[in-house]
Amino acid sequence: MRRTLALILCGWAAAAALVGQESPGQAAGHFYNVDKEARIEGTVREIRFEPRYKDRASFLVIVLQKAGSEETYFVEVGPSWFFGQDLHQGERLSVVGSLAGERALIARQLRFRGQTVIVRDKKGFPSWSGGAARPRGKRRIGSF
Amino acid sequence: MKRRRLLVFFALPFAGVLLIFAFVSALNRADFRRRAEDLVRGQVEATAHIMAVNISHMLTEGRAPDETLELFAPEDDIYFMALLDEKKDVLAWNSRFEGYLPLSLSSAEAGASGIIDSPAGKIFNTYAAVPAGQDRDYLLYLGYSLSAMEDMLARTGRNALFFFALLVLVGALFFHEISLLQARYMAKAREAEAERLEKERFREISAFTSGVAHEIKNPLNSLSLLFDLLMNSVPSAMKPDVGAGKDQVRTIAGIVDRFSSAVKPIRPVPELLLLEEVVGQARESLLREFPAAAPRVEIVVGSGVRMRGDGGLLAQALLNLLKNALEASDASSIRVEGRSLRKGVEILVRDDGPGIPAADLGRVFEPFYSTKERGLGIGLYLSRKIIEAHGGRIEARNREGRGTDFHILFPGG
Repeated sequence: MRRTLALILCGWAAAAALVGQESPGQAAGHFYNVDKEARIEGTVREIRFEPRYKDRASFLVIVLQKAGSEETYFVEVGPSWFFGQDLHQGERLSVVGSLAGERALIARQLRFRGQTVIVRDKKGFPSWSGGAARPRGKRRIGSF
Repeated sequence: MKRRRLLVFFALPFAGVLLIFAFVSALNRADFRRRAEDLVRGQVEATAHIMAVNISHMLTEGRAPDETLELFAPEDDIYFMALLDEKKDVLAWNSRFEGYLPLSLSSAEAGASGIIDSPAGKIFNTYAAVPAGQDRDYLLYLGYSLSAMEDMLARTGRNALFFFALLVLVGALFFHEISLLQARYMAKAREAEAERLEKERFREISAFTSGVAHEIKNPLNSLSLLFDLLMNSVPSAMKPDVGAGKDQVRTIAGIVDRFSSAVKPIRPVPELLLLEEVVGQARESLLREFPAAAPRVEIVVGSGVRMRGDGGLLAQALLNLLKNALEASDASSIRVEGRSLRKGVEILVRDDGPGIPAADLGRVFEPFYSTKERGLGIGLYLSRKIIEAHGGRIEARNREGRGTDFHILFPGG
């Protein structure tokens, strides 16, 4: 199942790379701002992998078309290795996250096919960072 | 001291000590935490101030905000930092955790500070003013990790807990030892009291027996003399009867003497002895009394076994044991073994008699205890007294259906 997902994701990533469409949202205000939290529901149009926070690892970014509208949002989920669920183009998806620019959303919680995936806590602390027991590693920079 | 009193006098004060320790420890830790927080606060504010000055210079020189912040990125204990303009818009920021910048714009003022709880531990945040030239005033927002301080406080708490547990353990051991000591003391006190009572009883018996012996022996002497006179004056046909009478008087005197000696305290005069000589002396005395028993007595004593003791008394003790063995074993043989041990001398007197009933084993050395029809119950008692007066000990052991062993152990050798 994971292999299928990986293939699908890779396919979409390759397609996105070919299209060369640039996702907006990486600006100085691109951090998890609890005051700008919103819920967006829509349909998955595209799945991408993009470098974020000047990190060398790529982040999973979902292009979401808002339900009942033509507006698309670029939903930043988390590092590609962290997200281990099946997700396909055309699926319905509900995201709670922080608006970081006009069409960018930093996801905190995703809900699809009846399952809920938490990627950050309520203050925006990333779940993949571990916590207090996490060994101190390289600093991630995100000053776009 | 009763167990309850022990609890009141030792356990309650100790519980008080534990409570005081816990209380003082809690106070100390609270004070330590306060001081540590103050120290960290001062350190972070100083760091923020220094960074603000440096950033101010760089911005004044015309560097871009993101380029400027990046120069400060390697700071390890700083979890995040951000540069805000006058409208409190974030110009640039960085964080150890992707996208994590817990920023409350309502409290974003120079000098404001607070503590945030995060999965990565507590974070101290502070705002510092950054003058950037051309009348621009920026704000530097800094989040400093308190995990080192939290680790230190946790370690302090663990140490306090460890010492508390150690104190409890030491206290428990102390009380356990005190309790054991008290139990031993009580047992010894009971033993000493029993011994004192027994000695007192024996003193009374001894005094009484000596008095009775004296009162009996005086008329016995007269009676003996009378029989001597009669022996010279009666017709020859009556002489055997008179002789029998005199024998009975002698028997009574012997019994009185044995009773007297049984209750007298034993004071051995020790000298260096050869064990084979002591055993030989006992054997000779036995054979004088029971000449026919010679083939039944077997002696196996190592040559050159030396010990210190009163030869006469030890021979008497052995003689009593031999007589007891001889009477117990009918026609079978009795055996005496003696050998030198590393720290003593061991003597074994073995018979092949019917053995001693298990219930009576502990009583055979008691005075006046006898299962024989004509026994007085003094012989084994005397033997025990003599052996104990030499610092030794004796015990009787049954060999299942094959007779009895009397084990004697003397110290030294």
